[in-house]
Amino acid sequence: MITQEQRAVLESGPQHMYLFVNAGDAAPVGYPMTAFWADEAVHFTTYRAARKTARLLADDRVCCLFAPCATEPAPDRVLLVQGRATLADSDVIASRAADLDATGRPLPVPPDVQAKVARRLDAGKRVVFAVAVEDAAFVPVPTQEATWRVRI
Amino acid sequence: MARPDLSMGAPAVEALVARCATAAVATAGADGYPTAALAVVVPGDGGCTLALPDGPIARTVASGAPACVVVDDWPSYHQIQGAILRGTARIERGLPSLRGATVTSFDFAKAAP
Repeated sequence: MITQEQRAVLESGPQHMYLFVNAGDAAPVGYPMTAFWADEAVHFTTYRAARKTARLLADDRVCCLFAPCATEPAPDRVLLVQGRATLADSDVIASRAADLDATGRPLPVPPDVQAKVARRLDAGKRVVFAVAVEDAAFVPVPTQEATWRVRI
Repeated sequence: MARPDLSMGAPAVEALVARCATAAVATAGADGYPTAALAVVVPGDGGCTLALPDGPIARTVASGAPACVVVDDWPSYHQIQGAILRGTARIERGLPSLRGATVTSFDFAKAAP
């Protein structure tokens, strides 16, 4: 299911990813997120009351695009993971919080913000989702000369 | 307590897009899963275009099917900005365009203490 090369990306520490979920009206909705790899799944946290949570509970099919944030230089390729998201044990995030400090990736999170996230996880205001990987592939990133264009 | 409005105005969203090198583009896949690719932002006199990798996402967007584009900037936690565009492309001067898309945006600086 996951090649060693793909696994190396997922295991390289907390990462920036774009999470896309179905929204019931044909177009997916995307969210920039910090992702953690643990227990053979992609993990992330969000608010229990967030619309994202309601969408995930209504349709668990997601894709995760592991890419740098948009203002960073374009890589040659990115990792695309598709899978199903389920609510997971919040201890996973606590166990990975030190990785944020150790790596500074995808960006340093201030201690007060980390503490607030921990409190809200404990209080159940935040939840953790785990995405079980069903498919993964490296996707090439085009150059500016690519034929397919869309105005934004 | 009411949550602060973190949304950005159109000029701020345009400025964010203009300083982006890439954008994440997603469509609904044939199997019911969302699918996505990374596009490259190409600045131009008339605004930005996205260069998409050849494949099903580019063809789906060009066909006028619904799509989502996400851009973001993470200079620091309290300066995170992002914009999510959702809509269907229509042809504008010979190219598919998402300029009429619905935009949701956020600027964490607006929530800073």
